[in-house]
Amino acid sequence: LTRIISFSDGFTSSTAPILAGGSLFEEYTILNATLGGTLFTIDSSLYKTAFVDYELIREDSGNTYIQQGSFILAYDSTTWAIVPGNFTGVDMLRDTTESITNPYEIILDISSLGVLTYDSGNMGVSYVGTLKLNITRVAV
Amino acid sequence: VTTLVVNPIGTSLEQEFTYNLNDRCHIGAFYPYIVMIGSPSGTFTCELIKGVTTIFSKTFTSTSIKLSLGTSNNYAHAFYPIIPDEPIQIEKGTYKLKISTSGYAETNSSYIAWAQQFEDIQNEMSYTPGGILENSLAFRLKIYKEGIN
Repeated sequence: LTRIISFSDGFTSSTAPILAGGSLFEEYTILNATLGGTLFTIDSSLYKTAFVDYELIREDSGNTYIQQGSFILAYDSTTWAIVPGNFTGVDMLRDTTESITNPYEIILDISSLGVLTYDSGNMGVSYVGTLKLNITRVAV
Repeated sequence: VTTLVVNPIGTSLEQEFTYNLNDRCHIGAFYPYIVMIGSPSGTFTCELIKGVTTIFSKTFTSTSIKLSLGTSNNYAHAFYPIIPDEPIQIEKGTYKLKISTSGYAETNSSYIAWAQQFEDIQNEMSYTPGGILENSLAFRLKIYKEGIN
């Protein structure tokens, strides 16, 4: 997937370059029965908005739960928030005002500093899960 | 600030190009615009291909890139010189410059990419890009011409 990156200066750097825009594909393993699992951090000095399309899959020995949808990470000058977009399978991605009531659910949250995290329900020992994100960020 | 449009190499990437001059030329070096993110392990093979025949092949690694730039930093971007051990000659025609990988696992924080032509377009493109994301992959050739035409 094509990416746009910016190096601050020079040919080399000891730190990662800035992703300046364009589309970024991320794939995360969603651990079972986890509180506060970290996905990624978005820096409000660089970005105020990120459009995220996602596919979430959680499987146990008997079932596969899948959800597709989109949301926006939006910065309002003091804090980050998740603005829900369109989902299918609404049981699986919940906003922070709700709690996990079914084991296949996860809850996404973003801190005021832009750290995107998740809580996941307990699907047992044979569980596997992934969250694939297509993130379009708009550089400041 | 240097802004680059980059393509992680994945399994392989290739860029077709046409050498238009009538006289054959010697190639002293190939310079794909390589971007190193996080100094990934693995071996990268640069090939010059005409038709289905590989004319030239040479490998490099993240360590090679760092040695070339004289740095211990794990992030770099440069027209990385790949110098043939034997002289390479090409004649008028169409070729592919290809980079393939082995023993390499690409992640968002660790990958080798090939930058596209962007702010400083050097090679004329045979098509009209639909936007800055559609430019051809950037490279230079160090060429020694036989004649003056």
